[in-house]
Amino acid sequence: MRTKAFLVPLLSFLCWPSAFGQDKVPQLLVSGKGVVRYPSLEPIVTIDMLLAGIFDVVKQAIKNSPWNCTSAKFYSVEIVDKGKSIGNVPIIDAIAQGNDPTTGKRFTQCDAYGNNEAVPSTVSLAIAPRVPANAKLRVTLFGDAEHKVILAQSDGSLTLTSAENITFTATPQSAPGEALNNGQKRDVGQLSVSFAHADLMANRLLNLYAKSSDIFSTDSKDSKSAFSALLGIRRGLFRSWYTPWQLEQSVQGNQTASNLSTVTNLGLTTLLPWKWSRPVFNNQVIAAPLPPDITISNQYTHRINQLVSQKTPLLAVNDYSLNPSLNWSSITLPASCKVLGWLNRANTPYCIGTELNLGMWYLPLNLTKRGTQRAEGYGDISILAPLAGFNFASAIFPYVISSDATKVQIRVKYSDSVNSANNYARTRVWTYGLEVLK
Amino acid sequence: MPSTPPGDAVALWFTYLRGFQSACSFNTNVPVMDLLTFANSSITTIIKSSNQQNQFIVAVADQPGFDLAVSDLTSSKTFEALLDKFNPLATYVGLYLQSLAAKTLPSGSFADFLQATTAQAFPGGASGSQWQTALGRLTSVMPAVCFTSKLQSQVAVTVDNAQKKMADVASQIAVLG
Repeated sequence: MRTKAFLVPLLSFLCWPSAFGQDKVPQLLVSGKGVVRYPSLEPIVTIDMLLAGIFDVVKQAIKNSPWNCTSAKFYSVEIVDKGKSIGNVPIIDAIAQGNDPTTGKRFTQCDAYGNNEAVPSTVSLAIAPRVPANAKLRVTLFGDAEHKVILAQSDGSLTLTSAENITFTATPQSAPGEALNNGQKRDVGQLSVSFAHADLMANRLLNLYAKSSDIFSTDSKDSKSAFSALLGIRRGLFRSWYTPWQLEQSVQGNQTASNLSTVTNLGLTTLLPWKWSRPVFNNQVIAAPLPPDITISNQYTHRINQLVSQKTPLLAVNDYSLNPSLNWSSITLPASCKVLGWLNRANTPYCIGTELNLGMWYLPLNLTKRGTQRAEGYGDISILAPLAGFNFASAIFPYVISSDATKVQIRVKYSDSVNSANNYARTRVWTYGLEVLK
Repeated sequence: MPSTPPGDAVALWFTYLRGFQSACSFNTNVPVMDLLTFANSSITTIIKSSNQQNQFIVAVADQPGFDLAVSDLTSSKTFEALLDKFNPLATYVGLYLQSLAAKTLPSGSFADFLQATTAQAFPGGASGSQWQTALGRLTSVMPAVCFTSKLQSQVAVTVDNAQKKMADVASQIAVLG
């Protein structure tokens, strides 16, 4: 029988003396994470606090009428160094986790039922994304808005990853024998610069972001010199269904702009509503309980300057592509379970599955030899069989399949693909392989 | 503030679990699962792709109202573990049992109650009237499939062991089954 591992630390915290009039402050259990609000797709950082771990403290505090666990004014978040506070992190909001089933909205107090059951038991603090990576944070719960009475405190060891919206790196490097645009080579110095701002506007309407990735060289003819600046907005199309779209405008080229183009990208990804599909796609013939993922990408490229060389031919000034694609995995064939069972002379739980990827490049500005608009379809289909489904495998690969029989599978794949970076050159390939899944 | 009998928090836990099940009903295997099977299902088996995980996160933020990150889904093995991370069922079961315990335990601290022996909290053991009342109340707030007669029998053995603590009983019930 499994044990509830969390109850052991919970007990030790609960057994500490009450915060009222005692020396030792009860420990607040906290964890941090990055959350993306939807539909605004705004990235925020939250600290989850398990108030159920300090239930006796909460039970006392709720008797003081102004105290409310869902009010940010009863909390503080400090950056600490060797136990000492070196700065405060602004708290944006305190949000109860879990809805009141009678209202369908978040709880607004910590004794929602009025019977000392500590509902809700987790409150999250949304904090300003200005916390340096690896900074140690201490969260304190106070009994008063003036922050004089400490009810509980975390141990000051909380660190957050990706807690800053702005990232910047600059890396100087030397590049001996670097190729130049004129065909010659020479030793150059390069500065690799990367910048990103994940949330320029910080609002609940949409996410505005910027990125830049550049290599500046001491020689203007350095073939590696490059810059790319991108500004994008994104948001969910529908409030209750995951449909993020993004519009990105980027400028890219080399450092002298002798190669310069603008790229506009409009994209959307989602999954198909799938509840209806059970009779059609989850039956005795085919079992596809999960919906396919759909991605649509529109890209318009305008080439302002082109650096033409023997290796880089002149490209069209204007290029447009529409690229819808579909990824459908987790499909199994129930009849195959019986076949594998018959082969093994046993009722094995293994079945043969399949995966499907389909897509198309529609290139209206790129005409074919016959003068028609160009469209290139592509796709692949895989047949997947768990190795453990075959008796002989356990004799040949006992160590491979002993840990988890479903983690090793045979894949037979046929793909008919086009390479968008190489003028949509087409290749058709059969692949046979043995996969070890994570 | 409404004054309702304790036990709401235990019932609420299962309401939240049903909310999770509804939030991933785009997997057509999920709506036909019983609640216990769903609770013990591997999250990454039920919702696999990034889009599916994000759809679950979007749905759960609305109902039953949890702000999840993808890291929550990958760090919790099952849906029960995911819900326990925010609302530990063992705590709620413990609080409910405390309200139904003997003597002065209901008015004492929760920490003391968890350290109390079964003999102190429920004198008479599993066949005693105190525990029988508590068992009746628990079965009324927990779905039968999650608190089966088999689990009830196992819990009764623990309650009959006078040396066991109430924390053991709460943990055992919260395992579900």
